[in-house]
Amino acid sequence: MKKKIVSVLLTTAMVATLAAGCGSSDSGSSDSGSSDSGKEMTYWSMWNSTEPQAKVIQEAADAYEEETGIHINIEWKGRDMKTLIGTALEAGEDIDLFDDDYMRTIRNTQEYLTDLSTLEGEEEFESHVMPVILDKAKSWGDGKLYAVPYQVYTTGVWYDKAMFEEAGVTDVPTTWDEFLDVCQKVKDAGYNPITCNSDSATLIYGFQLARYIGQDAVLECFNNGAWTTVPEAKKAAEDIATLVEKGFFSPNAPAQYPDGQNEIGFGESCMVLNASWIPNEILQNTGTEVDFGFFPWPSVEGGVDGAEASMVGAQGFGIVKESDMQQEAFDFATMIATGDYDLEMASSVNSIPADTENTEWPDAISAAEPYFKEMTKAYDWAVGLESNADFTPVITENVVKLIQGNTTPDDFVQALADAQ
Amino acid sequence: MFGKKKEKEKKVREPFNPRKEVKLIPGYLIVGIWVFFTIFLLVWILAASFSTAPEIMQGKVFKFESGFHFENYINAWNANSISTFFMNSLLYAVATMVGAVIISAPAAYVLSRFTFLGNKPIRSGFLIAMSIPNIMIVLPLMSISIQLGINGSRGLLIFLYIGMQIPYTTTFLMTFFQNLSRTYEEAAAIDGCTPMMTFWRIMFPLAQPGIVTVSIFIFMNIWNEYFISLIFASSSDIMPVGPGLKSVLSSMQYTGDWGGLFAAVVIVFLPTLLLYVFLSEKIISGVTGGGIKG
Amino acid sequence: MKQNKKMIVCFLTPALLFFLVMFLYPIIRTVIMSFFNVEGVSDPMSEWTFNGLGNYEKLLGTKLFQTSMVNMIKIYVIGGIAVMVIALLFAVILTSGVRAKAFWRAVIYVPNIINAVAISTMWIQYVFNKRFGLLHSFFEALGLEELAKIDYMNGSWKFWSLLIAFCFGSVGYFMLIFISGIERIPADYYEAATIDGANKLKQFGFITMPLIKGVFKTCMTFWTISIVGFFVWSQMWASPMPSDNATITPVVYMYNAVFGTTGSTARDAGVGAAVGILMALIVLVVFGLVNVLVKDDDLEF
Repeated sequence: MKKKIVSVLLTTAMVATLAAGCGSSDSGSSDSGSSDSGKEMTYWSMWNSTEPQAKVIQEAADAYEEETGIHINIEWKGRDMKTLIGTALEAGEDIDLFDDDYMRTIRNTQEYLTDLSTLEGEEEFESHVMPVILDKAKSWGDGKLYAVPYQVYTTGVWYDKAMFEEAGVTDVPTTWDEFLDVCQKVKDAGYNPITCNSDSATLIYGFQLARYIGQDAVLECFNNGAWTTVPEAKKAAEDIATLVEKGFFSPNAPAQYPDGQNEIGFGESCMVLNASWIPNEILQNTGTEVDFGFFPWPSVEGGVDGAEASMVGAQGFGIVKESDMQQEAFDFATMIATGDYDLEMASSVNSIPADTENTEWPDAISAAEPYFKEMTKAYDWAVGLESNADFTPVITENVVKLIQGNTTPDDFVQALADAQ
Repeated sequence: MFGKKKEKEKKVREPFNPRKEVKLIPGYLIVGIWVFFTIFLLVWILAASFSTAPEIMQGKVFKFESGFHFENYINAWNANSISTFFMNSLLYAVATMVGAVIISAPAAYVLSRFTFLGNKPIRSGFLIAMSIPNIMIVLPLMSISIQLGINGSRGLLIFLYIGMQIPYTTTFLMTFFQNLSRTYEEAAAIDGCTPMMTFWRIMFPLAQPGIVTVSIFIFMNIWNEYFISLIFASSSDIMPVGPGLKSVLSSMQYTGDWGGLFAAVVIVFLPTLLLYVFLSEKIISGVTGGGIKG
Repeated sequence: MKQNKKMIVCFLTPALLFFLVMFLYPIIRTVIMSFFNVEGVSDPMSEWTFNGLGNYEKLLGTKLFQTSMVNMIKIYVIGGIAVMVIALLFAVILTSGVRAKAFWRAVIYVPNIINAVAISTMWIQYVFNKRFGLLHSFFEALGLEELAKIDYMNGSWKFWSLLIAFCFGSVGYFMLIFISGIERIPADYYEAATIDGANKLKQFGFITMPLIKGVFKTCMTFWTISIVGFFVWSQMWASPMPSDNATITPVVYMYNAVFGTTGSTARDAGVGAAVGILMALIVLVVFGLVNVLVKDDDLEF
């Protein structure tokens, strides 16, 4: 009997040692990277190690280690972050800070995060954050700040200036009719006027609807499923259908990310409605340096919103409640979100500087600067149309169909109403 | 084992018969198109993995105008830590293979050899376990591992993998032990071997063909696993190739490195493909060999 | 005899322990959990509040879950028929005496041994790509502009592109099972039928089909298990979004419900558990039906 027990134990022990073996070799390798202080924190990043954002962050991390002796383990997760972070936090992974879209960070993972006001230097930091971003962030956190916003973006139509010139367009459109004119001219010049990615197709519908009734009414319509009773819901769909009928969308639109936006880099399409990371992404993806112009989504007849309203947002660092290095993590996050690193981030990836003291915008997106300065109303991403996980896929699918010309405005609003 | 011999015999027996071959033409055609498509797909991916992004975009992958870009592989291997995912998967697959066989083989042996109270229920228990969807069990497993504080470790993942393979491995090996003659044990008993020694020294080696087959299967299962590791191994240093490749893919989309993307795909599928090229008879006989039962 | 007893105990214990920890306990806990309000997976039982059938009601009333069920059923039925028919066709062709049988068989099985993420990437990024994709170039070369313009990754085609790619990869496995079933049929059956004047089609209908009934049962079982757990393909097709209306399946829904997803604050482990139970019930019902419908076990394996 004894022998048998021993053999069973051996079996288990073997499996266990195998596991333990890996565990120890693992910690050995990460130890070698840490510096004298022996302190480390873990940062899960939404960037990939090859992206320019990553290079700036890595630089900041090295400088931080130099200064404090704290080594930062960075895991470059890339945009898969949004599928991974929920699981990882729930599982209690050893994460001190992470970043993602600031709205997602705050709204989806708030209960895992530290209220930043408990940390030193939070007040000072708040004075560096753009008011519009700060207000949004606090509104999702019941008046408290749960994320360190950085890399601010604004949204509007990005276009290839050269194509506008070629098409004889001198002024950017401000109204819907002017917009249609511009589209026609660009089309006549031989380019696809508008392109879009399927993952951000909701932006077009969201913007158009919000131009008619404003974000609050959009959200009301959204929350009550009042798609058939709000006439503008159908009107906005009809407007998009008009663009489709006139052949203003690229024949490939909406294309799988990032094929749609890349069409601008390939010189096939002219305009895309998206955020200010567009110039940088197109440059990264296609290697073409397009001279980008910008204008806000046009206003519509009888609508309430115009150029003063736009989707703005930022990425945001969340600091994990369970972390025993919250202050250190906060210091590191603010280091990136303010001052020199913020400026460097802005210039290397053509984004808007987040620190209010950094006023210089990179050239590639400077066209959006005047509008941004005059913006008074901030929309949520996709004007809030993506704030309900059970419903977002339905909207996305139907907007895609609308742009493909596979559904009518009537069927479109009906499909949305039926889904709720 | 015997499959190969039979096949050879058949080949010898079959002379060329034009009339018969003509009748088979539609069959050749259908299968041929399918097979051609499969091979073409793989070859294209291979070619794309040596090309640059613009070449891929313009549909010129077979021309290699700018030569072979081996650096795609270096980029994929280093920059996006495919190397880590690769090594992790290798470790998980091998450890699971060894662990599951060592635990399952004795269980399969006694279940197939002896009648005792609980034999039947245990067998059916394993059968049910094989058909239970993973999502039935992941939530409690996750909560236990969180409470024990062992989340995010390689040991946990290997443990889970072994546990998940045990019902299948045991059921598979049972048929192999069933088919072994009892005279081996009787002879061993006469020589004074205890039953347990008999198992490890005689029966276990005799079941080797089955063990090899089931090991290959476990290896492939683990190599291709996705769901469990997505939930239990979200940290890069312990992530296996499945979720790892997914994250590499989404990053490549943002950086436009299409060559690197396809290189990463090749790196991930090559090990199982090579294994398959050398062991396809074994693997195919394993699928059909009578072990798997739903 | 006593020694045997000891051996039985020692040999079975490790496997049984794994079974208890990995299957029995989790199954029971999931069942209980599905009747409670549970927010986070790791919430202790003391924080659970009884909810009766509330989770199930909520689930069945959610449009997106309904969509995911419909998608799954479509994959199950349409995909199932397509895969079984093609697999059977290939099996019949390969057992009809073609040359290089081992080669054909091996290549057709290849997709099964490749990581699903890798193989779905090939489909998404190459076959279905609108710019340089295989189908695009193929139709363009034939001058079929309309077909070349189809976007397989968006809108109404998206589900079908997923189904085609998935079925393509599944055929090989079921083909192997059919082949081995057919090869077990004694050759003299066919010889006798040929002498009696039955043509190939009749032989297939009256000999092959009835005798591989049991094989169908095996195939149904595997197909059911693989479709109920349908996850990675769906996630790949939805990328870079976490899920997509055209391709969402219950397991993806469950993953999103439990771990939270883009733009959603709701995390609901209780609902996730209910999804698990529903899926397990589906498997049970299908198994029951298959057992009632296909009684002949002679050639099952």
